[in-house]
Amino acid sequence: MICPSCSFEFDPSRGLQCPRCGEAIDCSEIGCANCDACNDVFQQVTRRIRSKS
Amino acid sequence: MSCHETGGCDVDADETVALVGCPNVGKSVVFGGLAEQYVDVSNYPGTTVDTTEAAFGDAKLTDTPGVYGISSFDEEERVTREIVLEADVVVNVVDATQLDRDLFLTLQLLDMGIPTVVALNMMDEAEADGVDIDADALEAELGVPVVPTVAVDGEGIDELRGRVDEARAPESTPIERWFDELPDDVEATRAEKTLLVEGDEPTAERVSTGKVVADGGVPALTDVGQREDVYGHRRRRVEEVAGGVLSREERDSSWAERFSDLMLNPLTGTPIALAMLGAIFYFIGVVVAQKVVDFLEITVFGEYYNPVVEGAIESLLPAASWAEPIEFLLINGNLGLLTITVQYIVGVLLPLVIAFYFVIGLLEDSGMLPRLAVLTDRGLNRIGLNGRAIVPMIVGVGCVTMAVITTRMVGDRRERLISTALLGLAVPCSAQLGVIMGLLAGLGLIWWFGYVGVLLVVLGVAGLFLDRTLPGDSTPLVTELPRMRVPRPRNILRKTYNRTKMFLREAIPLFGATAVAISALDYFGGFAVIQRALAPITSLIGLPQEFARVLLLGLVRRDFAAAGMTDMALGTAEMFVGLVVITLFVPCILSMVMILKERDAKSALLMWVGSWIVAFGVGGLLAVIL
Repeated sequence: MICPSCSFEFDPSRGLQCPRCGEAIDCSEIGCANCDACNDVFQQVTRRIRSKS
Repeated sequence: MSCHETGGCDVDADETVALVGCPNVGKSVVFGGLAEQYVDVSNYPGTTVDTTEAAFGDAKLTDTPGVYGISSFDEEERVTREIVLEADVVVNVVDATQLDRDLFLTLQLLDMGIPTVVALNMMDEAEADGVDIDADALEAELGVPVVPTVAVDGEGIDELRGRVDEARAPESTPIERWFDELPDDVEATRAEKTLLVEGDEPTAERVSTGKVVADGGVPALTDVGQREDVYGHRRRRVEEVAGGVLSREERDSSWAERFSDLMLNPLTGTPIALAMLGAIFYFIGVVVAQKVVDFLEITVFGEYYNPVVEGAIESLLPAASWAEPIEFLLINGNLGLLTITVQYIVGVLLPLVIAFYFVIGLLEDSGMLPRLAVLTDRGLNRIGLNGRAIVPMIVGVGCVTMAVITTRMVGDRRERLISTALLGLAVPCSAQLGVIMGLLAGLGLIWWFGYVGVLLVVLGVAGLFLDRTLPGDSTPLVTELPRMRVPRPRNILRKTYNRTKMFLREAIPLFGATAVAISALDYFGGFAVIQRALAPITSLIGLPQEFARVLLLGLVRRDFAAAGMTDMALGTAEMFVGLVVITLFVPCILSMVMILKERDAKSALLMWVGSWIVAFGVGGLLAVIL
């Protein structure tokens, strides 16, 4: 995943915070097509719901 | 490679102090405060990245491009990495409102063992946000001097200057645990070892162990995944340090935050942006490009300066045949070196440059510019550009020459090429547009809509074509949104002054050389040859041979071409085709010089030739349809 703030490419499976600039990536800011943090569609849905709450 | 080796430095000093920080942290303002004088702005050798240098006591002070970390992911980072590796001392400018973001770079510098002083800048804005930072505690945590500053007001700059000598780095940092993973025989400094364990490829190539792999390259010195471990660990250290020194008081959102939200929402942001762009166009395109420039060109130069200079030269030079070419070179009516060239630079370019830099300074300082880019990003993505290209496109309607300079802010080389090509092709400048609007008014409103429609179609098709054919991908808009604030006049005026000075220093020799070349061509009859050669082409677009004279004028200046059509007896369709052709025709000489300066000779030639093809292709098509 490429951080939308500092463009650093990092592995989202370790967490959705950019390790370089510290930006916490929100599912509402970056679509699933640009991110491979989730293992399956259930995790995608769960994470999206959490990001909205 | 140091700048001493490349000969790129104008400041001769034994010691180098580098100013390093994330984008938009006020580095340039700190630089202006620390520098004893502005010395040089130039491309870093082998790149298109600007670096600024100045004297700082016995040392050389270098301002670096804003980066989030020392690495090699883009050209700015590579330039900053090179400068940091050569520097004796680093002044790390940290935005106090973004401490948890900016301390990553600070800790990386300390991991590298670079002697560092931290300028904790924008303390006033942090306070306004309800953020309190204990600078003494931060100094104790980091183990290096920390100086709170408000650089735009000059606060803390004297203390910072005094503490540069105290710059230091901790003897050891947690990064060293990864050094054991490096091969035993690697010979590298602590800074290089830090970059090696972070997987920095250029450092790995430079500090190779001498082993050559099968494909002739150098072996990787560390595991690929190690960078994330190192970065992740440093990120946790940043959070520990920031958590220990920072306290935050909850406050209601300010007017600036509310306005920022309105700007970023397409429903409210679009009308605000349109109003703002309209105001910019009015200021640059109408007030400056027409009223101020007209006054300077017609009154100051036309009535006073040029006649005086022409009279003086004619009286100074003897009426001998050998003096004739010299007199022509100095005062000819097309591009005389002492008359029209000075008029272009002082009467046309200077007011536009000042106005442009003033507006950009205003947008930058207020925080509007990045928000404007975010808002227009999606539309410009369709033609291979990103939101930052909105400024050159708007400025281009005022003056294409000026807009070519503004493409510096657009992004990488690919986007700069696309935006420059579109500017040169399908964006009429205000001087030309004024005459064209007058002529179209005589044809009727429907022709005006037709004219705008043709230009938009050409703009879209050309953008799509360039996006599909140029190698590489368009870069996404990555922009930090600085807080919105009331712009500070002193800051804007200082930026405007320095940028204008630098621009003129670069541009004047170029315009001078162009004037000499064009005048020589004119004197030896080159223009007459060109006009004769152009005549057959005009029949392709169904226009009379006299249109060749219009095209010749267009080669020099676009509004001259438009003005040249006013006394031609043309039918409605012919007039429409002619106006479209002169709009799409080659950029004026000033714009071409600027394209040559900002891009390269090959790109400039392709754009110039491409303009001929598109202008006559579209003109021919319209002639058939109409």
